[in-house]
Amino acid sequence: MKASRLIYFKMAAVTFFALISESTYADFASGFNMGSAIGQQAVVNSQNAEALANQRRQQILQYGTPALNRIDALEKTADKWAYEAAQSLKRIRAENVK
Amino acid sequence: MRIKFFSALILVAMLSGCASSPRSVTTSIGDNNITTSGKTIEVLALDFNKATSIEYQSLRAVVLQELTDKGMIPVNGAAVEPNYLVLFDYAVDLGTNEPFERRFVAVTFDSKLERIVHRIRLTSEGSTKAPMEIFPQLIKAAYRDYPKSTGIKYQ
Repeated sequence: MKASRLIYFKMAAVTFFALISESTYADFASGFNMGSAIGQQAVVNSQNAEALANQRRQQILQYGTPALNRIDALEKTADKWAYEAAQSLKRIRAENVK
Repeated sequence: MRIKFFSALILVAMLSGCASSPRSVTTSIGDNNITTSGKTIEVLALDFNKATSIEYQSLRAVVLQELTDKGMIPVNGAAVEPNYLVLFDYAVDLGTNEPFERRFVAVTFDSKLERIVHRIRLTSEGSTKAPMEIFPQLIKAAYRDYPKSTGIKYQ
């Protein structure tokens, strides 16, 4: 009687641990897959970001200072540029008269 | 009940669309006593690097057309002193995502007073980033009320 109880107990314990370990493995596999997908997405994102950054660098190399920053700076100093343009034209007119 | 709820939801979405930022904003400020009729002008580039480009020359022709429509007379500033110098510049955001920001800036400089008497600043957003496709329209919009000082105007 005692021996059969022991066998039942052992069987129950084995089943219990088998279920636990299977569920843990499933969770682990699922987590691993999810982690892998996130990792792959992160790689794609970083490649896109790098491609965009490269494109941006090429544009800056091609066009110089970013266009909107440049026009803002010119607008702020427009008084100076307009005055200088007027003075240049005055000088040219004076030279033409000579 | 559910239909009413969804109708209200659609209405809110439509109203929020109406409240979205305008596509074009012009800020136009200047002296009230500027006159255009019969006044001589020379149009120059605010950004000297663009002065010789075909693109700038084409847009300069648009600015000149707008000003002559207001009664102003273009002159060669190196030969005759103009009443006003108009300097302008334009730029497009070189980012990769739409909408692209387009900007047009112009100042009117009084040769006698030796100071700027009128400023225009137009900011616009849209899918076009090719200057020749969009700036002729933007320049026309920017000069529509010239030389009135209209403050901030949404278009």
